[in-house]
Amino acid sequence: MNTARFNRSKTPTAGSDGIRGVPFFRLIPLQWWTLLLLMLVVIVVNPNFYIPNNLTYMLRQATPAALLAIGETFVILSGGFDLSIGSIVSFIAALASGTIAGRVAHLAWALPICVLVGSVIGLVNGVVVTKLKVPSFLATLGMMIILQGAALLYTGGMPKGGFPEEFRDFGLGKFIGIPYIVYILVAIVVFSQLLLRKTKLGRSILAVGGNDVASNLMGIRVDGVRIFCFFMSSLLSTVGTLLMVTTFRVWDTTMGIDMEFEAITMVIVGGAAIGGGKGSIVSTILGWLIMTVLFTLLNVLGFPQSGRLLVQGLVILLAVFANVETRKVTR
Amino acid sequence: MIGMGEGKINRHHEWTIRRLIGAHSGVFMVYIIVVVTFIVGGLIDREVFLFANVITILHHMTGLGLISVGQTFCILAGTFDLSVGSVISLTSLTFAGTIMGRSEMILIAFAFTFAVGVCVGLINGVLIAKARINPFITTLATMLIAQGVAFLYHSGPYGKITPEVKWIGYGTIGFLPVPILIFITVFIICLVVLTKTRFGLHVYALGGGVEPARLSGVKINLIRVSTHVICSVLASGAGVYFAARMGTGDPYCGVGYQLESIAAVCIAGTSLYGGRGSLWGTLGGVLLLAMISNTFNHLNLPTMSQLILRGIIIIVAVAVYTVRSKDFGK
Repeated sequence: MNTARFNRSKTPTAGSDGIRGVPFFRLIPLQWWTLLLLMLVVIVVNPNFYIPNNLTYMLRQATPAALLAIGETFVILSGGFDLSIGSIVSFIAALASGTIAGRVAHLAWALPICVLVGSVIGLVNGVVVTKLKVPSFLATLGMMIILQGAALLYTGGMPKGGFPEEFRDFGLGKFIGIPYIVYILVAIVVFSQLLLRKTKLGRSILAVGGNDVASNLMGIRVDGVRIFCFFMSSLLSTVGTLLMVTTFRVWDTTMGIDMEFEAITMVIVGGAAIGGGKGSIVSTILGWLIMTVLFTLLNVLGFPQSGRLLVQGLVILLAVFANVETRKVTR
Repeated sequence: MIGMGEGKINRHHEWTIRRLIGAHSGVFMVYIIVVVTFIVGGLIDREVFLFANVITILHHMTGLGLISVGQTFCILAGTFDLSVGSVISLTSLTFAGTIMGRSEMILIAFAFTFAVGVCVGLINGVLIAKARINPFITTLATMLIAQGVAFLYHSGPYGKITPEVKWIGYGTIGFLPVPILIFITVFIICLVVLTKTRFGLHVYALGGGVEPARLSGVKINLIRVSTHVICSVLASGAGVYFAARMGTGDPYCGVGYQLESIAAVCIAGTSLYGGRGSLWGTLGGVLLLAMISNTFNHLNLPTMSQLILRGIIIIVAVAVYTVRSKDFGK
């Protein structure tokens, strides 16, 4: 994360001490070291792992989760939570499958409808949080329950419709050895990071997360910024869902359960602050990579699937403690 | 009786009916909706009015009620606990797994199960109070860890209870079922603790503002840790209840209860930011959720529409309450 760099430039002694005052390993954020270490462990445990096929498979399977995490980052940076993204996955997957119904001809109108519905969900979340003053935790919790019901109601509890082969061809397709959907992810990461760091809107998001009252006094339209964050979260989750179903052969309405907690885990591991104002898209991507490599490692080690939750919980605590430590040292 | 916690704090206020309703409109609203749902359901299907059905509704609310009462302590003190669902799953397994059909193990099982609850509560409380980690992150982590431990302990239903334990889930004293009596006892004890003791007053004070509470001499760390211990212990109680009902432990039985309990607490206007609300509101919220599922079952409406209605109720209830109380906080 940027904490170390940011705080060092702020310390009065930075000029005199320079970089010499900081141990070498602190120059690079802890997250990069963790990722490097995990990858080394994977190689040591299974030397045959890093053949390109495994790597692309891992990336392709994990790409949708990255989009969810990026969306969640926007909301968390602005100082809220979005618990509804897991249910958005369930609902949009059902909606896409039902409207496309296995026909290529339907794609032209079914995909825009899915994106539109996803955007509307985000706008509703945002309006409920900002205009009706419902805490984001409860507003998105309500939306999560509503969408679970809607997904079940729409499908009747059974898989409905389906996806054409061309859809899967796109999901499994590659350009110069890298899956198409990874290119999409890279484009979205670059776009989001530029949006956050280089535009007025992005600066406003961080300002609102840091202190909403002060932002309001500065003339930032706090409500608009908040609504935009929820909109981005739902939109990216919708896109993530559509990419997800291209790689799946079967899906069901329980698909998205607990995905919101997974996304929040990635954001926290990346180093963003719950409560807003601190974090970036790149750090979330780091968190995503760490969790993905870690889960791959657990698979390689033959760790039972049920143990994943345990590891995920421990990693959250470790990440938070690591962040607290860096902050203490550099302050 | 309603909202005695607030009454104690605002003692100088005049106790007029209007002020009472004005300050606790959320609580009143929820009870009115509960009564209306009951009457409308009963007019459509007469079976809703039967005494047996009322008992069924009360049965429904026991599990969620125990957890929500614990959750109320945390929320009033300004934090919340996402780990309760996993604690239920884990403790139902440890309880039934320790007994394994042996009567002589019952006491040990109780001790072990509540020890697990106390441990999780202590971990939550210490991480939040001492390490100053955000309650959302802390309890999210312990939720995942406890659920993971439950899955590793046994990935499916496990353990067997004895007839004596079954009495907790199915027995009756007079005409009232034992679980309902247990819930009423717990509710009254917690109500007294929250409204009549110094501890309860300090919980409200801490939720109202950390710094003012600290300067007034409230031991904030102690309050934080004890509210989380109370919450986890009540969740273990719910785990015991579920094990007694099902006859076995189940690593999935608590899934979803963490969010449902938070919703039940907040439906009646208890503020998620702490300091405002009462146990009566929690009781109303739990009753409302139990009433909805009961009525929907009687009217043969699909579960899915019930979910949608629940979500809408959570959003609308909290929105109406915050807008009315001009609580334009965060």
